[in-house]
Amino acid sequence: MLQILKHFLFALLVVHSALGQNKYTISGTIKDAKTGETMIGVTVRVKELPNTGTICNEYGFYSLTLPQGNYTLAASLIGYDTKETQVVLTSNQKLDFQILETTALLAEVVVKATSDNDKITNPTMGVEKLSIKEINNIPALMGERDPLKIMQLLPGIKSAGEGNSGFNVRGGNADQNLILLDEAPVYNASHLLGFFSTFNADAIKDLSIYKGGMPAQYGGRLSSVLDVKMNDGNNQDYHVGGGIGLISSRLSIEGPLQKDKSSFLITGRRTYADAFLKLSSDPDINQNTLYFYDLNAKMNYTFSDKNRLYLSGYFGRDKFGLGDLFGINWGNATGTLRWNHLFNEKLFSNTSLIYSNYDYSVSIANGSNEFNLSSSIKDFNLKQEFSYFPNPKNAMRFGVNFIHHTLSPRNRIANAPNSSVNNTSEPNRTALENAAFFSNKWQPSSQFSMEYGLRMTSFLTLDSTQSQTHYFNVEPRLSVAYIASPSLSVKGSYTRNVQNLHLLTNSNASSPTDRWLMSTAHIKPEIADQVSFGIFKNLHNNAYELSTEVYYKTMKNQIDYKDGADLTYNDQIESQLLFGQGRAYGIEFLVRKNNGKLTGWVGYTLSRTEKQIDGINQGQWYAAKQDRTHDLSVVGVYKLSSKWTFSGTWVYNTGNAVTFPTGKYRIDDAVVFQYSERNGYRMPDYHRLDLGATLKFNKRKHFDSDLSFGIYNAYGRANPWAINFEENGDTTEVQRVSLFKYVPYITYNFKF
Amino acid sequence: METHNFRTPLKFPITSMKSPNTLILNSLLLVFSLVSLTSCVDTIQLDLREVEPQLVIEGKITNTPSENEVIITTSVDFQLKNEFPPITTADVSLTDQTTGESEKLIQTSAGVYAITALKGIEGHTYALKVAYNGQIYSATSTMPQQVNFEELTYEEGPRRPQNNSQTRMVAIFKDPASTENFYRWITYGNGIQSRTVFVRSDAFTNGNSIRQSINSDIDIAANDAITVEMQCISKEAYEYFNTLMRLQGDGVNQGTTPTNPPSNIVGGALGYFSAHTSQKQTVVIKP
Repeated sequence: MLQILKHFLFALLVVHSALGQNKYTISGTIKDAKTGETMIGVTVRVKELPNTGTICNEYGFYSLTLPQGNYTLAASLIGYDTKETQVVLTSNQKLDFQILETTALLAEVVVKATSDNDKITNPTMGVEKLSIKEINNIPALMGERDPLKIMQLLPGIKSAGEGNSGFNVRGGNADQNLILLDEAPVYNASHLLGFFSTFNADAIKDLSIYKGGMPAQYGGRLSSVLDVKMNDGNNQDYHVGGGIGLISSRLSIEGPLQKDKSSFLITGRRTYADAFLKLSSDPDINQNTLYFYDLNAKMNYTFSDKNRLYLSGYFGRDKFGLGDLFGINWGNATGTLRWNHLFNEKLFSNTSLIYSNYDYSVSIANGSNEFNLSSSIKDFNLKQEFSYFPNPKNAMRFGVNFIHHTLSPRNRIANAPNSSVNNTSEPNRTALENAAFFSNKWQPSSQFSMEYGLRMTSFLTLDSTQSQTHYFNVEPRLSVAYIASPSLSVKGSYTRNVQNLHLLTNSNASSPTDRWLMSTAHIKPEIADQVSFGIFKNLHNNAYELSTEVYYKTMKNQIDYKDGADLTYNDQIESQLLFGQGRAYGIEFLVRKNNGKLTGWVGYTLSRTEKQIDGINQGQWYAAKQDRTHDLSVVGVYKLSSKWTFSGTWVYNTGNAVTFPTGKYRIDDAVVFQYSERNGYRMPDYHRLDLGATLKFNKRKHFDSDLSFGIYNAYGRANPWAINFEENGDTTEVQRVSLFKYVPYITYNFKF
Repeated sequence: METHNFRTPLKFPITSMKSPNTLILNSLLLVFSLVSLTSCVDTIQLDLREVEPQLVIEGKITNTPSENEVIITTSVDFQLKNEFPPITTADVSLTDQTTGESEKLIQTSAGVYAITALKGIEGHTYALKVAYNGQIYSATSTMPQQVNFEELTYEEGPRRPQNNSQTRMVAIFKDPASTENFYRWITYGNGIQSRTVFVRSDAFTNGNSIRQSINSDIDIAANDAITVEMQCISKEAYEYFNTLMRLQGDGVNQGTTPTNPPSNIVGGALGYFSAHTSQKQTVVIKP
């Protein structure tokens, strides 16, 4: 660690000495020429100086410091035409790029990567990126294009269950993923028990997921970071887009507020399939309500070359009602206000004020026992971050982050005057989570690059109802790449992550009433250490990307429940918890084809995830629920013509670890099942084929439209979603519940 | 060997305080099934391990003359028929620890050992001892004070799909504020006992007048005479039956992690020993 600090200081010194020489900085913003959207991850190369270049940050800003001279700068990104500009560098200067989306047929269906061989040269490992174009072509359950479900097709990322947008990364629990929408954490990223995610593909620009080797600016969760960036909105022309599907419709409007300077984007989505329930004559069905909607909105304003302001928000809500017997509604709201400021050509600053809220409310009517339950988690977050580009060999990031958490525990309020239920009002729990971080991407030679960083986090409980607890943790992050050739590299990384907010869930499906808890004197912060190594190889001029990564992760202070824990109707939740450790290891393979008529990937993971918790299985190591030995995904998109695109995905995985009965006995004349150990059995293997097609209609004036259709689970595999054990006369039987077989979809999309 | 039963509607296990997930899921599946062919339940064969049979003890002493007995059986493998071999050679004895009196229980039918001399009295602690095959199994239980079962009535409500009737039995009583109380209700219709386990604690309702609607799998129709038994049970018995209650209806992998209910029997047997009060009331459902 001391070495790294020394290097960091040295790098700062280099900066100062560099100022004395004839070196100048060229910097600017990279935008999409058609929409004016700032681009993410565009490579800027200096043609005259091989191995010299940089990648623009998430706000499209880049900075390069070079000796005086004449240069050709090329900005390139897969899916876009490379733009070259001649520069005579005799002073610091500003150079913006506007790059144009490639319209040639073959390149149209590309899988976006940050640059042709960025995966080889970038020291960061364990990171996967997806573009929205890619998502749009892949078949989807009920036609609801869901970025989170596409993510699950990548190695190391596993679906939490059939049709579920929840995911497990490298053996982590679903709550150990930091899910960010424009920097705001989304506490419950699922609609309707996870069958749909909160991410409306229409509103999203870019997604990255870090499975390991997280850069130091990210923290707070153990297993992964999913960084989702919303579209800024077109600052050139007005556009309206939308889609009509079987269970939902979408609409989006975007355009300039002031051409070139500012833009807005509003997208909305609403499911309406429950409208069909009203047609039923059965009063038990036609009184039910069940729907969700969500709204994404974003605005940005460019004040000057040096200042830009963004305001973005998300609001979503699910509602479910069973006549007047039972009702529940839940949802997230997030808001982000960001200010980009350019101090000078080398120093870029971003200040963010972030709000996030998740809450739910349940009303139960049962005779006289009418009551409401409600709970929420709310964050205010201030983040100040600097990007500093001292020279082409170093790119630094440093900053601070202050988060104020308020957790309102589940409070029960009787909602009838004669209700026999007593009210509770537990006081709110509050805490301050502060962090300071720095990292540097250092490329000392063309063979060697590394990113090192440190994140320091402090968690302090504030409320007076519990003894004040303070935890301080240091999280080192290190990734090193040895670049053997422009198409081959070997990388290694070490990452520590700390988590102070913990989700209690007792089932596979994400439940709206899952409870968040904070670290307390009793609940210690979860800590994970991960080591990984990888080999990255590109073939055929970067048309094929091959990679393999091995990882080993240990997790401390993991939380599980006592056998038979009652979480739903229990006020003393902490008494139901047990603590222990976890470990996960595995190897991942990915082959990706990015160009040509046929694109897609094959991903395979061989892995193991285990837990050891005193009080479960006699304290022995046992397979975690999400432990799946084999996990294989094949994704193919075939562009037949400018009209027709076909796609298919096939997935196979070992069944989850589950607890099944081994025997039975009789109590009160009823059969009761006897269990021997937790997670001692496996669900049957899971496999499924999905097929899809997109037909693009001829463009009429400015009106663009297409029809997507396909089938989910095309060969009708009865994948068990649940297995039940039932008493049936004088025997017992095993019942398999499978949800989706031959599920067709059709969606009409338009844009003008 | 699979028997397909395509598009059988899923069981609708609605109970008033079922996990919200189960409720939402059932409606969601209904919605999905309108737009596609979804949800199918079929019977499959699973390769479940064989286990050593385990002793099962079900001991009850009440403040009434009936249901005072200890039933001893063993568990069997999942694949076998629901026939549970009775244990006929156990030595069973019961002690009233409050008075110090003891009784050796006599087997009245295969595996059923009757309590005849000792009486169940509120506040008394009873100790059960079973000797079988060189092993000793023991348990104690204290009978709680009885809470008066004031009235049994019924009301109409949304249909309960598990018993196809809209009528719910309602028990009226006043929960004492000074103690933690635990209740179990058993519904009997036309001589049949409900198999649905239904227990409640007063954790949310301490000290209140309560109208408790009761879940059961008994079909209730006009002119039926429905009997409801209200038991005041110990905390240990509540934890046992509460675990059973939460395991019924939910699919494995979706609800509570399945487990054996926590038993108060020391020595490694399944089952429970409960000293509880019992009150029964009957009403006839008006047409």
